[in-house]
Amino acid sequence: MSGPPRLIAREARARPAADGASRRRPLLEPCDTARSGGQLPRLLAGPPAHGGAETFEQHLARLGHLPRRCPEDIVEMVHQAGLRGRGGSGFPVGRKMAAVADRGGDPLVVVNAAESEPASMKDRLLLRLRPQLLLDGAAVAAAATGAGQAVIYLHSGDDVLASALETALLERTSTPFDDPTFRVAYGPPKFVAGESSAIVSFLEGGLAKPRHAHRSSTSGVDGRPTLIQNAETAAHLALIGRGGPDWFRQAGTSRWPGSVLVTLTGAVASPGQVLELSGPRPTSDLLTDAGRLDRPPQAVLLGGYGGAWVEGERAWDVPIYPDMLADRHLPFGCGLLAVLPHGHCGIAETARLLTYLADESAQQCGACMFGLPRLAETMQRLAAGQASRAELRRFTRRSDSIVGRGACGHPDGAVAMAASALDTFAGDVALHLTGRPCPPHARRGLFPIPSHCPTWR
Amino acid sequence: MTDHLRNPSQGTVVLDPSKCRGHGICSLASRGLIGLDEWGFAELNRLPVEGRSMRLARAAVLACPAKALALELLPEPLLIPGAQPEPPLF
Ligand code: SF4
Ligand code: SF4
Repeated sequence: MSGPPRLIAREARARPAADGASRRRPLLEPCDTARSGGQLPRLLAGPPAHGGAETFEQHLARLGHLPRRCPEDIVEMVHQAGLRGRGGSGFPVGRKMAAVADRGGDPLVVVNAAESEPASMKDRLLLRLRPQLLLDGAAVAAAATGAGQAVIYLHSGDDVLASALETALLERTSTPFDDPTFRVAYGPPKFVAGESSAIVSFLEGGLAKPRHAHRSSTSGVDGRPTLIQNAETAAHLALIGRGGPDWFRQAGTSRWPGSVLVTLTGAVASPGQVLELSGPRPTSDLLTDAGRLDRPPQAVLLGGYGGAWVEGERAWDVPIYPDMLADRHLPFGCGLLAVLPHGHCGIAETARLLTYLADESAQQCGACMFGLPRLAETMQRLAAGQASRAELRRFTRRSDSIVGRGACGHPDGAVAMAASALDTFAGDVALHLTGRPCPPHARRGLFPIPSHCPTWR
Repeated sequence: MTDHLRNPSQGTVVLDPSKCRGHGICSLASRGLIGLDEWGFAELNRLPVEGRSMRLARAAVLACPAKALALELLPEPLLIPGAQPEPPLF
């Protein structure tokens, strides 16, 4: 299969000429094409970022119509492509599609564009600049499963994203590839409201809170088999629908085919910058090329706010790709690399993140709603030089008792992130235990934290 | 017919943590088989039980006012005929 030539031909023109220091926020900068085997950009191909969203007309001129295929062929194609979910779980998308399609009934497709990780920007970027890819992906998923309806789910409160999506829907006139009926749903801007069982609950008219042991593919919204796919996954589907599995597999690794999006934040040249990778690249590459760092930072938080801190020197050589990180027992999660500079207190930053995560608990499960605030408190006291060794021991005991006891994975992520902080910043911990806090300038917050939303509807 | 269906003295207590309200009655009813955490919430995830512990577990399930506990009469892991196990991530 030759793949979509237009996609690659456009690349040369779309790419910014050189490492131009003049671009202040190079949000759409794909990583170096030569090093990545001439495969990029894929998702980020097309008109440059400052042009705003690609219109339906431009989208068709660049990529052409989606070819029509029967459901079995689409599922098989996605299978062959080896596409894995980009929302963090990495579940094979073909299997999920097949499960929903086999279930029969009245299936439903949901594209989850509610990017809950505050610092991750990739889904937001796709929605803002390439909304038609997302909608195409929803159409492919609907055709594969026989769904007549597709819901695009996002957090309320971001008017730019909402209008990009609504404009895109209005532009979408007739296609030879039958579109499903699209519906847009705005969930509350809460961290766990993007969890798939929370989406199901919300679409059923309930609160956007997670449910215990819930399987949406067999019994989703109102009992309908429901295929929930992350926005980036949908965008990949749009390209697989055109280029086919062989083309798709030209990027990525054998265990993790296709390109991936990552977000850089924290002490980098442009926090919030999204990069597309077509294969593993060491952290040092990403942070020197795009992040403009010249030496390893103090530490990097990988995978999101429920991810893992890694000491800067160690992170420097780690190849960034989901399978490569999994080999090293590190999370890829939403593809976040949050950089903590030297001279900044990692414990103070962790205390901020942990406090945020505790505030974002859905207040359903005891271990999460009572446990996380206690952990956050201890972390705050530690950062302030007020915690004792006994308190720290209690912290570890509590952490152990919390893990695995939520209806969703929220507390586990928070606990893992906190534990990795105690390891990574062991030196600071020892210092703070002697009663010495970091100076105020080292304690100011670095990573973005959204304001708290009080409602669950 | 598989063994576990002929032998209902084996099972697994499962807690839905989002329903548990921390009444602690399960712990009393099961004479401590089900432990409580420092805030009084049932501290278990999935607990395989059999024989005497199965009887205690059943009492706990019946006593829980929040209906947060359930007894699965299938041994771990939950095997559905014909279903494939979930693939590992890699
Ligand atoms: S674990 Fe926490 S966030 Fe998840 S459902 Fe329970 S209370 Fe909500
Ligand atoms: S009796 Fe029910 S609600 Fe109370 S602690 Fe036990 S499981 Fe939770």
